[in-house]
Amino acid sequence: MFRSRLRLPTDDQSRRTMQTVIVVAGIAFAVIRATVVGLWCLLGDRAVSDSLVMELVITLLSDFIIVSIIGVTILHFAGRYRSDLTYETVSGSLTTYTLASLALLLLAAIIPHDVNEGRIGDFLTLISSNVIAIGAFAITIALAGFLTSILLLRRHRLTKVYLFIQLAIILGIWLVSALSVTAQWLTVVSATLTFAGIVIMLLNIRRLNWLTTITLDRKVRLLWLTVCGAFASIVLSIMFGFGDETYVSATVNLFIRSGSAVPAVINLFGFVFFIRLLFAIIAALPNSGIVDRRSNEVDALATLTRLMTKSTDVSSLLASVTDHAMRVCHAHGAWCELYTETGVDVVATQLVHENYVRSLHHHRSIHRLITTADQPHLVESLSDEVAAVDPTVVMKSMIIVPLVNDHRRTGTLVVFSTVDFGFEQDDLKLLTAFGDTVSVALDQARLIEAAFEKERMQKEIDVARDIQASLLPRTAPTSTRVDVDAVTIPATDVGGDYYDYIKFASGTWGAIIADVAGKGVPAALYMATLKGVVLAEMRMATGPADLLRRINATLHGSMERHTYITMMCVEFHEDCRYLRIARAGHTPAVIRRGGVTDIVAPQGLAIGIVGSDIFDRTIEDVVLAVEPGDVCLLTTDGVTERRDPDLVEIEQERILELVQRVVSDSATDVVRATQHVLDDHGRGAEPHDDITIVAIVVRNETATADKRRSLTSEEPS
Amino acid sequence: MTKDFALTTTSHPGDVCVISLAGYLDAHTASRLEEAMQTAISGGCRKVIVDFAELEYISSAGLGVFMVFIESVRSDGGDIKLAAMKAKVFTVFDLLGFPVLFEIYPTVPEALEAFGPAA
Repeated sequence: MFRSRLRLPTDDQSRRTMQTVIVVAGIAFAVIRATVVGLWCLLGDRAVSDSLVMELVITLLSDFIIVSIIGVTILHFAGRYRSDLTYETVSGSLTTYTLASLALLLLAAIIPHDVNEGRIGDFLTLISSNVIAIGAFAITIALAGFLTSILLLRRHRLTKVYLFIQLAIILGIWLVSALSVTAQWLTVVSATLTFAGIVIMLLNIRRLNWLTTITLDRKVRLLWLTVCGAFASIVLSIMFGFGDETYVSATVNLFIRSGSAVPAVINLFGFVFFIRLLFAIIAALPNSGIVDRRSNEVDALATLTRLMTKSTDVSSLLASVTDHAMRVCHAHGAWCELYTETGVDVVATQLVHENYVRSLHHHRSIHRLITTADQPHLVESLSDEVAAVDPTVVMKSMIIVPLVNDHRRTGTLVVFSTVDFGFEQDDLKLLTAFGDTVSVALDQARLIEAAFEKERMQKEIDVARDIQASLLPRTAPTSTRVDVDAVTIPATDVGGDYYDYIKFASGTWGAIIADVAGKGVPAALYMATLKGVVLAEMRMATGPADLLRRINATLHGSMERHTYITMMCVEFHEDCRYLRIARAGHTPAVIRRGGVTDIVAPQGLAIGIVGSDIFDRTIEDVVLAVEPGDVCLLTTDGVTERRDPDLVEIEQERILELVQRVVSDSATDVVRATQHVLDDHGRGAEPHDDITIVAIVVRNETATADKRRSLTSEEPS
Repeated sequence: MTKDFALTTTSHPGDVCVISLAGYLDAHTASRLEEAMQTAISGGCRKVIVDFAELEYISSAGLGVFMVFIESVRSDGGDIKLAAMKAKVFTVFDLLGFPVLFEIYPTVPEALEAFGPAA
């Protein structure tokens, strides 16, 4: 319980309250003490030392005052102790200490000397002596607090032990000097203790490496402050140190017996510290330039890395980079230019207009200087480097940092100054590091953008593929006499192949197969259009050739000139006594009739190439009588041009052979057999074109009687 | 595909340009043919002969290129004639019905002849 009450308050509020209480108490004690001394010395005209009781009372009150000063100091520096040691803390404390010491000495100098044998002449002397004494203690104890916190912040193993030894030495010296009136040899002890204290102090100050992180100009300022602090501390130390001769010492001793010993020793320690600090600063000065640069570089690169992780879009990243580059080099402006196919793209300009930069590129020599540098380059004086440069050009010196991406020059970062020799070699080095980082960042940002774009595209393609798949028929028209099946395998995500089952005006059935020239989304869009046209025209078409004529009439003129559609249409009746076939530039059909396999290629141009006049003239219907067991295979050129890993196309004979030997009543089997032949040839190679297979099989009625189904009940999509 | 494609344009007397193709003409290489045709036609050439002697393969995209220019060339009184096709390439043209649209000659000199004497 007692321990916990001793603990220092952690929050600012209660600490401030505590400080206020202590300060008020201290002031109260000081007022009481001054009143008592005033009554005793001035009115009673007697020295304090006349009465032992009086001296005890005065000493006790003085002690209370000193304790409150110590209390406030501890509270103050304990709060500081938590925060890190910064230039501001050190310089602020030093300034306060120096100014306070000077004020104190000034006050001591203007007050008349009138202190004898513990007796005080008048009220002015009384008050001033009190102020001097309390001030001296306050300054000294604050200095002790400052030194303690500075040593503790960069402590080593023995720091605390040394501090306790120093405290013991201070108290020892105080005691010795208080007793030295009785025994002269004690002054020797006092001197020895002082010397020991100085040695301990020097041992205790070890880590002053925080100095190196301070910038050069701050170091110089700190140097002056330290000189002032050392001066103040030595003067104060001497003032207290020379016994009763000095007025300050006398008043302090009047305040508390032998009290001047404490400020004298502490200020001496302070002096030792300041001298040590002074040497450390002087020693650190020559490296400061390098250290500053290094810390700048580290800061700059750290900031860059932060920017890189934050911004994913190129323009905001470049804007931050140019701004940053300009500031670290103390430049007058900066810009970034990216080289695209269309020319120079000026972006992220700082303190210069884009148009001005563009106009710079009209100077051939400057343009060449900027765009051809393959290494970061420092132009110390533009007029020296470039012959006959326009004197109105505001850029007098610049640093040119090429941005290279994958061995390709993608842009330049330019930082300029409006004076000649505006940069140093170090700036160049710094910006070189910048250039590398920016190149990486640009690359990264571009990759991210590309990835987003790709993802978006992929989503759209996924949708297109789903739509396309939904355009294909789900059920095939099948009867006891005829079986139809089909499959399409797009080579890319979305293909240009299409097949469908239709119903003509007369009520007969038909199968169509089509291939839109080209691949990908455009082909898929044409395919969707084609589906619409087929659905619209089929109910009015009288036969395959008529349907293809109608489709061509609708689509010709509305298709892009380099695009066309090849198509084939086969009409078959429920009884399937014959097949009527028309072809619009499409891969010919392979048909087996009565055991003989043939290639069937009726006349006809691809759809979309010519107008109705030529198209209608050329296209023809071919009618073939069929009987049970006959097979008709329609394919796209993805089938006939199926390649193996060595890019050798499948031989037509293999397809013919397949159709010749296939024995099945099921169109699905024929489709599968065809796929098998293709896979066999492809040997795992990626198909280079969409593959579509439509098979029509004329059934043997008796063999399929058990799975009789009605064709008319099936609605094609 | 990874097969190569090569193209050369030569001028002949009488404002005739001969574009010689070699290798594989597919979706990847079709744009180069389109460029060459565009250059020849915008350069004032109205009589174009495409020499297929060295062409191994033509895809649908390659075929589309000829259709892009045929109308405008013919309306200017010129023509695009195709010559010296290998059997396989000719089959592709034939299946699409191109012989109806284009004049196809067995050799380049015959195609040149068809354009008539330089005038």
